[in-house]
Amino acid sequence: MDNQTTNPSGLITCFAFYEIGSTTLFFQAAEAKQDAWIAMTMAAVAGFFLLAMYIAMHRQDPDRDLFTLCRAYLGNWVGMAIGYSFIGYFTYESSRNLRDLVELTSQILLNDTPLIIIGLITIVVVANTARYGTRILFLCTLVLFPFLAVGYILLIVMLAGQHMIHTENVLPMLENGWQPIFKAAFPKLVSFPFGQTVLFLVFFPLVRSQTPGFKRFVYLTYGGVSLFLIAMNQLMVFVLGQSLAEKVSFPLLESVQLIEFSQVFERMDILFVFVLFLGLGTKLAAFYIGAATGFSQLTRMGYRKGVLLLGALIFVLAFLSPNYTHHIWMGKVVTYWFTIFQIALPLLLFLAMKIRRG
Amino acid sequence: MKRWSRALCALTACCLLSGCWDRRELNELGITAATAIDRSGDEWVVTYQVIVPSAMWSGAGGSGGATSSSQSSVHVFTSRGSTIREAANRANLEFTRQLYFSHTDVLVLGKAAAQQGITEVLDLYLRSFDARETVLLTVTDGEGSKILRQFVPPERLPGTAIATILKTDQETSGLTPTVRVFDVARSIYSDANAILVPEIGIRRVDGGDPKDLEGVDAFKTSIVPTKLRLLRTGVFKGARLVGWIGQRESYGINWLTNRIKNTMIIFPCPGAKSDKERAAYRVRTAKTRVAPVKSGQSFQMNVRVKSKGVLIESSCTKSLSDPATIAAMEQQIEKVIQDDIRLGWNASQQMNADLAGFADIVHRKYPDAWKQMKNDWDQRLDQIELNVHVQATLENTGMLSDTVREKPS
Amino acid sequence: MHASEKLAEPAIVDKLRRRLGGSSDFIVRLFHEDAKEHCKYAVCYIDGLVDKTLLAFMIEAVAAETREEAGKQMDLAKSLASRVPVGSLTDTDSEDKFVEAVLNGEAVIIGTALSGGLTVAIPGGPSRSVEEPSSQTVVRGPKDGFTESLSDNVSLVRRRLRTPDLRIEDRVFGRYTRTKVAVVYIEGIIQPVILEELRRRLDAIDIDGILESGYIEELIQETSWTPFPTVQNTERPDTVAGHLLEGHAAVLVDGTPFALILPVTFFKFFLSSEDYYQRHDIASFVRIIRFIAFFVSLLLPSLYIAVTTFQQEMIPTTMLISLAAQREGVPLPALLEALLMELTFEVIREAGIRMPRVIGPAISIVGALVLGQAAVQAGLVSGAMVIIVSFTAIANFVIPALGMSAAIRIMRFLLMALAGSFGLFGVLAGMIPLLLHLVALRSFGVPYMLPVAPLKWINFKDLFFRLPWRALTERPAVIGSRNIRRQRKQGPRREGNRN
Repeated sequence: MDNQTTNPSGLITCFAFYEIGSTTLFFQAAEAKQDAWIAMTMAAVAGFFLLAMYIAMHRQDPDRDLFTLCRAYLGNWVGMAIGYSFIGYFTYESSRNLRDLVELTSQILLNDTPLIIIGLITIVVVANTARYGTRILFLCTLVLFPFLAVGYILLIVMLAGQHMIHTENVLPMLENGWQPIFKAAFPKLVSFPFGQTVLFLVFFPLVRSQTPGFKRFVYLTYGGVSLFLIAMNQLMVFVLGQSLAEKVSFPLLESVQLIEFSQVFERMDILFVFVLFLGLGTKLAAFYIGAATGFSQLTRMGYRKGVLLLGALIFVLAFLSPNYTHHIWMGKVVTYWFTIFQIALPLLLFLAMKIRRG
Repeated sequence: MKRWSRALCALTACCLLSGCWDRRELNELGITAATAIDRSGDEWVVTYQVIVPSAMWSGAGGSGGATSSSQSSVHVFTSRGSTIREAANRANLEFTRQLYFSHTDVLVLGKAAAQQGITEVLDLYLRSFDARETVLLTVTDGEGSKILRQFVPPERLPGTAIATILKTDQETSGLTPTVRVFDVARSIYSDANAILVPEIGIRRVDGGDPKDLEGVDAFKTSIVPTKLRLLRTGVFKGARLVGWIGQRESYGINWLTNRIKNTMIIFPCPGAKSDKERAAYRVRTAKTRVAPVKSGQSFQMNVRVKSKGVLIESSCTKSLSDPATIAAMEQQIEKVIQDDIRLGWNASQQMNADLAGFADIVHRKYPDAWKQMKNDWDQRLDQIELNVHVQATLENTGMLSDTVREKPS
Repeated sequence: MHASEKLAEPAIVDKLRRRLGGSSDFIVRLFHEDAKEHCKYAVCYIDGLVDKTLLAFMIEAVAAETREEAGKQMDLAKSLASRVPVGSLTDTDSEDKFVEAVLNGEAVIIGTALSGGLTVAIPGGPSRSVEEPSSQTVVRGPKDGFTESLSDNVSLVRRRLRTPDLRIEDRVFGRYTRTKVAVVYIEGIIQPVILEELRRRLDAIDIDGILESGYIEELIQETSWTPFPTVQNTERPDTVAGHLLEGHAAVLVDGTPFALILPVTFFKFFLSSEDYYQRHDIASFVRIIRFIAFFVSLLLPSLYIAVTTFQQEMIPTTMLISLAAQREGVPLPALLEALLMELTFEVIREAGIRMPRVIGPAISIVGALVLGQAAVQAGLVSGAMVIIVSFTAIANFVIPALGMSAAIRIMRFLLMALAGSFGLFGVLAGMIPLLLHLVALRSFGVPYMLPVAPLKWINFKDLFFRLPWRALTERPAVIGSRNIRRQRKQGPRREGNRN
């Protein structure tokens, strides 16, 4: 895999894709009902601090990626153990994204095709992506970025043009008090999607990050994407009303299905599926590459072999849940565990770095 | 590596050739233009109006759109089952194609089904992917299957024609609301829990027989003896039909809920000496805002209506070039709108159904007061006062600046 | 000369003759001094490879030299130099070099007065005159195209770039063909890395024969495992000149009018030199049309198959009904129908190229239409499919570079197969690896998808649309080339017009 420095624009777009990812698939912070936007804002702010910590870690030792950092600052054995656990975390996240993508395709596009076949095709395509390496992934997101932007903009414009956005649905505010908001925001919302930026600790060393604008750029992107996510999430409430938004499997899809424009632009769900594919696929690939990078570092196996092995593993893991409800339920359960990887371990590493560096 | 790529190629070839799972050729589809759901005893009776494409266009190699085709452009049949999906499944026993619901335009509810409650229907439409929630809903006083059999000349697709009638009415006169399945679903989860659904029925003209409209011969005459028409409006509380209100009342409710886009208002001329002096005002834009104000134990609803329009018909005696006349006309118009709104509101109160959606409005502004009232809101409708204020603007009088009159002889 | 006398030739001439197997086009002219037995000079050449006029001059010079008295022995070389108007003169003495010279269209002069031999370059022989290029035509722009003669081609380029920085490097390839190849570049603009890489790859070629530049293209291209060309070819000297100005290198091959240009990026295949001769607004418009045509040509059949077979809900109702009506009675599933039509069109296209010129146009246009129409009436295919396939084929021709349109044709079949099995999901699953492949591809070290990936904003000025010349002040970056500025920033236009 090439390790040449690339310019940061690729990383930034990948970051944006990654954050948007599959967040728009579901209605986040559903417990907060129409105050979901408050919960998301709070989670975004918390995620910002986490991101700041990750960047500070990177700045301290710019040439080392996550796995090398672990081993350097936490000792060889402990570092390796933690490295492996991160690999496990990335692999599992990747498999969750795979399952999400497979379920989405199955429910919307290919109703009768067995899930395994869809999964197989997807993992083959993504394994191919992973084989090329991080640099190519970044370049790809650069090329695809206009498509994603246009897709979402079209959706929003069409929804607005149909007068389907009823902003009054956000009232009454704080009807149920602050408690549901806090419950929704911490720790679940911080973990998904804002805390997942921990993955980029693997990618930061690959780009020319010493330029002064880099930090600002990343923060700006994070801010922009967070605003976008908050808006999109709240859009579901605006269009559907919060009771329906909670009950429907894919609220944004439901909203898109209501678009009817001049007899031709009806049933535009394919647009929704397209943008979700881009986001989900990028997340899948990013986690996959992160895991493969670590794997090849820690086991001294060739990168390509590692990609193959992990691919099979991800495929198997993705089908752990026998049905969709179980998959969603699992997601809610493991989110608590993920905070270890997103907050606890990085914090530990950060402190270790500070101590060692003096 | 070579082995892997060969295995992959073999696998790919298998996938591509195995005649995959989701493939549906166009000529295997039974595109349903309209569906009717009735209830008979314990069973659901579902009727489908399926399009026959080759009758619409003379398929292979001819010039399209021949109207002289003798084949009916739709095919209607019925099936029964204990659930709606079971009925659809049973349809495969007698129909060659796979029923395809994504392009259905209209859903007609029979009276029995509507009175029993359509929660199953809503569940079906929200849960399944191919049944779209944008389907327009109508209700009929009788059996829905009878409606589906009627042609609507000169359109070749009656289901689409009904949907077009509904949409056109909403756009040009606003007498009946267009309601989608999604709107009913949302209404169930909303606080007001009541919604209007237009009624469709068969009207005889000069003693005609409805059976005349069921065949292709309907297209061969220029006058038709019976017609499918929008009649009254059904009132749904929750998911049940509880009663009917007339067109004027539903018109008033439409004003109240800001659904009027373009409409026409007939109003008596200012200073009219007889009933014959009337004028017509076409509304170009209209906007209604409702704001609740707490008053005592109940609420007062301030309704503000703004409309702009032009004069399109006049038989008034007063001179139209006098601004005072125009102002007087505007006042007449405002009075008509007010009366209509009150008419609608009275009907809503009588039915104990919050058709104007006041519950949600109150909930948003006074959440605590709402919590206390929400259990018997429908009974409290009588206590709510309506304070209507209309502002109508007559922008111009058309191509004439005065009314056409006979010379006094 | 006495006919019965056996003219004594130098021994080496006989060796030459035998080396060439006694070929009848190997001509030897002997020049004797009066009354001497052995000949003074022997002029050997291959008839057909030399220029007749120059040959005549040369023969005259040699004859004149022969007649000189023994005392006034002039150096033949000097004498020839003053008599023969053009052509280089070299001294050689090895037999192999003589053979090579004679085969190269040079005349070899061997004689007793010379220490070895003299070769005079007077290349000639049949050659085509400069005509309009047959494959890449423009409406506005120069209409001269390359010919099969390397020297003519080099001169066409040289005429456009009268700078001393234009460098031409000669090479010879092919054990049997000994084809002359010229590498052309502008010193100071081109990146040395590219040049080095090119030289390295050319030196690695070891092959029997080079008949066309396509051989070299395949031998020096990045990898064979891609349908996308990484080397561009053109018949037009102005295209070559334009690319040289942007830091590319060109390879001209004797015997073919198609010159190679490298390195190349994906987006270059959508440019035509005409874009720069027309005004920028129309050029931008046409360029955007080309990009649309690219997507249409690649995706239209697959999208049609995917949507009509899997995702029918996307089609508006009235269109769905008419499509369904057209499919009544058609025996084949949509995928096979599409494949059948596509294959038919490919066959027609290929036949149109091979057919004798007289019948060609009639068959290709009318035949295709009639064939399509007849097929529809016979109920074999649906009318919509014929339209889709024809439009796709036409869109394919919008792309100026033939290599790219060939790649698209291949990709199209792949995508159709995927669409027929998995609908839009399949199309997406096919497009993503395609995109990855394009992004990862390099042409002589230059990323194929420059300037979109990696992102270089400067080069967007001439990418999807062309800004007017005043704005194009930098050269497109080819790995951050040197010598970026190609225009001075123009001053304000209306100076001095205020009177």
